[in-house]
Amino acid sequence: MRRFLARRLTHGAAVVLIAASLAFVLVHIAPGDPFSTLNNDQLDPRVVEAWRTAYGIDRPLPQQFYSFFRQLAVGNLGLSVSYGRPVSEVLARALPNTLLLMGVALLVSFTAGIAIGAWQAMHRDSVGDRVTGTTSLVIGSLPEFWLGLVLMVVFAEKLHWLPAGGMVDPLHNMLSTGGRIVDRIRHIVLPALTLGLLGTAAIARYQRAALLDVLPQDFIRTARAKGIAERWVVYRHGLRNALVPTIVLAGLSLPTLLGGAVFVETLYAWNGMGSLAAAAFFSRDYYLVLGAVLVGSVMVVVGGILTDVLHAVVDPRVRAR
Amino acid sequence: MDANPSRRRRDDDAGLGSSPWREALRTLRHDRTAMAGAIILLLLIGAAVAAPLLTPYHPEKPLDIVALKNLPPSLAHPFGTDQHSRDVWSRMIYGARVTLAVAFLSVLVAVTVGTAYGAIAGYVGGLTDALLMRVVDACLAIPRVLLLIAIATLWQAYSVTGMVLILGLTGWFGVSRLVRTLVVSAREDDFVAAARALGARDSRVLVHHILPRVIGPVLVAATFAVGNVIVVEAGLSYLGMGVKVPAPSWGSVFQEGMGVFTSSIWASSFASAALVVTVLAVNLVADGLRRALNARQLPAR
Amino acid sequence: MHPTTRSTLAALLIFSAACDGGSSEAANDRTEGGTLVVGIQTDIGPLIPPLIRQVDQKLVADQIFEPLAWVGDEGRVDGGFRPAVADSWEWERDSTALVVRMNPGARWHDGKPVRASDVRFTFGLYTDPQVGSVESQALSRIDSVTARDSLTPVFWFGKRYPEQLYDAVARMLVLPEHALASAPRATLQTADFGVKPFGSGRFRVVTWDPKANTQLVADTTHYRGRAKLDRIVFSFTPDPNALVTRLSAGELDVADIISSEHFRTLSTRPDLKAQLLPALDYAFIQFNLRDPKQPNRPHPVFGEPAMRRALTIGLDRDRLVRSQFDSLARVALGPMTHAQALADTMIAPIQHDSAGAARLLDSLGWRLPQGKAIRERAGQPLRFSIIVPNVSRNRMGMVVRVQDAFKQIGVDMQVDALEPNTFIGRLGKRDFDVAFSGNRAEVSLAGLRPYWSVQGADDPTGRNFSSYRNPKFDAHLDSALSAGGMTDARAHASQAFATIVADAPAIWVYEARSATVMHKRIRPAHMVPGAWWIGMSDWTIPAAERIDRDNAGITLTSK
Repeated sequence: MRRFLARRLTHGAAVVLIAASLAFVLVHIAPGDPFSTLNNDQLDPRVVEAWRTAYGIDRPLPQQFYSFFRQLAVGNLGLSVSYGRPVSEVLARALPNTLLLMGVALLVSFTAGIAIGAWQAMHRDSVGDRVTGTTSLVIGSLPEFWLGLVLMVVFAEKLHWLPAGGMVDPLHNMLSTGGRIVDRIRHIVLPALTLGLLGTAAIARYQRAALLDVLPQDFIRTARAKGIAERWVVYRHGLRNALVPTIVLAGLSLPTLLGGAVFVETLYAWNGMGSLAAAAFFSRDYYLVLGAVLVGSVMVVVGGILTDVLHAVVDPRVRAR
Repeated sequence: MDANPSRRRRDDDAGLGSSPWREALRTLRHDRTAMAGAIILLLLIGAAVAAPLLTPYHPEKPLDIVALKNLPPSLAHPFGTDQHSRDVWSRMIYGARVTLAVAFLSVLVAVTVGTAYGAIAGYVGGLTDALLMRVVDACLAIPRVLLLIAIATLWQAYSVTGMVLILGLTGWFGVSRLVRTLVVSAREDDFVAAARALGARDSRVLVHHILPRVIGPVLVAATFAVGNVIVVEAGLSYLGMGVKVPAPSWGSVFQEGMGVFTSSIWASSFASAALVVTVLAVNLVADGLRRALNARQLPAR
Repeated sequence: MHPTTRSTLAALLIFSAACDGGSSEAANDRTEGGTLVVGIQTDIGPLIPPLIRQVDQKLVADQIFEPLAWVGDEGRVDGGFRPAVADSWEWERDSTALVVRMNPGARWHDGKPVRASDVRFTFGLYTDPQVGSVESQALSRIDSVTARDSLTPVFWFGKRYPEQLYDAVARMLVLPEHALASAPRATLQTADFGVKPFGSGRFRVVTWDPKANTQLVADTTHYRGRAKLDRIVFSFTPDPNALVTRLSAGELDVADIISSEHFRTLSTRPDLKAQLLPALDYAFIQFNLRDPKQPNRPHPVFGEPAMRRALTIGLDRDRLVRSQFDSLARVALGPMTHAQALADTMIAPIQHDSAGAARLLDSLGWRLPQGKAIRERAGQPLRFSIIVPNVSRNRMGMVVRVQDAFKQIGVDMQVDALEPNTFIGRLGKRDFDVAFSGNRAEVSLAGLRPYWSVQGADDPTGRNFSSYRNPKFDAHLDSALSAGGMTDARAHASQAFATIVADAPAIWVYEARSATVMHKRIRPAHMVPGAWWIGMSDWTIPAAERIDRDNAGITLTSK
């Protein structure tokens, strides 16, 4: 186990460094810099030059590259030009929001997906199986910005059950502690649902297939003959093994949830890493983009390692390798 | 899963001759859901090809920018008109050309690049393999949306070729990982070892012994990817980086529809429906392909 | 009745009804209270007034900070100001010195008194080149600010000009010297003050969270009396569809609406009302008068004034603008908007004449070959590309309409939708044929100089991207900027506008109207053209119409 972890950690470090370098190259070869949009104002270009020097972006690229990694080594992620605050501070505000949204979305996908997949496996090839399969596929292939807006209009505007976006109520600070918790829950439902529903289809399909692989007919027939409820068999034996591909799937969806949920975050005004990174790229906020990619890729790597560990815990065959 | 067990035993080795493929094809033909998907796809492609016959209006022609904009569906305009008073039905049919072409071609690019990359990494092995795969992991760790934004910003004119390249070059990472795994496991195979011991050149081993094993899963993955890329194209257009104005694509119809969503849901809903139907059809075919190819009893997945 | 007139009339009726309702209501119902939730679409980020570039930042800053005096309801720049930090002012030395008397009770939110030294410091900060404020150009016409005593700052001018009073008392938001004196000038936005701003305004900050909800509460001890509202919350809603949904659902009380589609949707809601006001934004299609590949030579197509004129009259701008905006914009008359005090709104607009355009193009050698749709001259098709920033939905919508309209007269315009950074980059390098630009008009006409003067054309880092050079225009503009009074200034300005419109370095496409949609229970006040939010501290919500959140109360929470 220790050797496995060590190897995975070296791999992970390499991945993070490569991702950061790639992001560095991409964001710097894009035309413009943080101040180029300011040329539209009544600004003295010499002042803009002075700013470029003050933020260190007029130095040659290799020098900037080197100094970025050098300050990274001491834990300094640099200054965000668009916010005027340290990158770590800006990220620290966005990361918990992303983790929260991601966690709840995964929860939705998992519970719905596993339940649906198990139900489908038990009623395989029935009309219900096919209809459910098709429906979850339909929902899973909808573009998230459309699905999110439809959910928002239906549940917030027409039915007034839930708020239309935001992480908290405008008067959140006036609520009691209990009220605040309820407020946060109410605000996370729609965005998590939007993200979660998209993953449900894939998980349901995997669950169904995996269960059908793992539960041969005779197993179920025996159980039936013995009078044991099929459901019990499914839960006890099937789910445990079928959890494996689900875990793997969750690991695969991490990058998207961690930094790619741009549409959902923008629609629901959710201050998360995805919208932050996209906005940072558009405004050429170099250090913020790099910081976001770094943090994001670290989380993906850590998530991948955790997934593998979980995989090994659940599936003894993996452990033997 | 439906294949005859006795037939399974007769296929003693994948890669020799075409009978396993014929098996797969036969299984596929009998698979009703996959066939349904295939028929839908063919209808869509046919509609796209026959666009001039099916569309009463030119997709880029505004009809009356003051009086006829944002109309709901009617007999004259089955999908309504958009904010520039253009017939949405015509835009969707012509848009299918762009969207389907971009989808298939970009997946082709992605699969080609990914297969080559993964095959080399898997076959060569060692430090090269580790390094190449770390690069892929790094690219996968960056969310696709960000990569697309970054690369699309460098390209300023969004022709169909441009979009194919942008989408293809950001979508090959998963394929390369898949291919690499398959190649690594195939490399251990007795048959391959024998061939190499007999002095066969590496390229010959790759092409004749390993690649056939790879094609099946890659084909399945590619088919799923086609559905995925259609949604990604819609997202790119939503960000303003789609096809050149005023050319129609499903993504651009979507984007314009989202702009008037609060007052008329028609355009974006029809675009959604088209997307869903296409993705559904593609997924049905892909599922069928997977079932058919699994029946050939591939080596350890 | 002509549709435009009808909709304009409707807009004016709504506006006047709201005004009337406001004043009589306010007279009868003086109860204080209410919570206003404002939807803003941009991240206001660190808020330091000299660094403000976005409208939403002004919206928030004008509640926390105060100038010496607010612009009056008519938007005049030479008078009609409402006292804020200053009680009164008078001219000395033949209008080259302005003596301002500050209110002795003016206090900062941390309790310290506001002094003339703060005003002097504010001027220094706004005009410091290292800070790079957008106001510094306009403020350069003020020589210096001195403090005659602790409550009497004096503004010294080199010479008289029409907007003197505005520049001195209304342009700058007074800042606390004790909080900002030690802030780094070149990187001013990194100052902690940006995330913990405080001023002397009638609202103080409770929670500062630009990406979520920024909450202000009324300062009950304010020297001009407390604001009528209890709280204002600025709720960040970046997605326009979400903004509309939140307004419809009643989560937001007021927001600025840019899209005519959204405006139409919201006008059907029974509990919302709208205020249409002239705004300061206008958009124009500017030609590159120089060849982008050889800058010393005129542009092969657009170097000829007749060509530019042909393209201008070939567009039915009225119809195009109406199609895109309904009543949310009107055809622009020139590089100006109706909200500008010195705009020449009587200038005769260039009339649409497609037959005339065709004749002009023919005479220039651009003819339609048999059976073809695009004009040609010496074998070359009349084809060029226009660059547009893809984030401006209105300009993207307009460019498609213009493209089709050009197609009708045989002109093939290709659209290059660019990301904002790339767009500005190409403008700066003069690497374009035609560009769809947008500007926010300045109160003072001095804002026109960098864009259209000879000096701006010659300077490669200047903002005269079209390279328009007409010394006569410069002369008229300079006369307007140094005129003695408003009448003189207007006369000179008219001539300047007439010159540039006749030269047609750009097609002046549209001038936006600000559409502020708000809940019907809200009684706005002081809605100045170009700055509808400026009097928010006097807005009221009648007690009889209050909803739940209006009763949140004024007591501050511990957080």
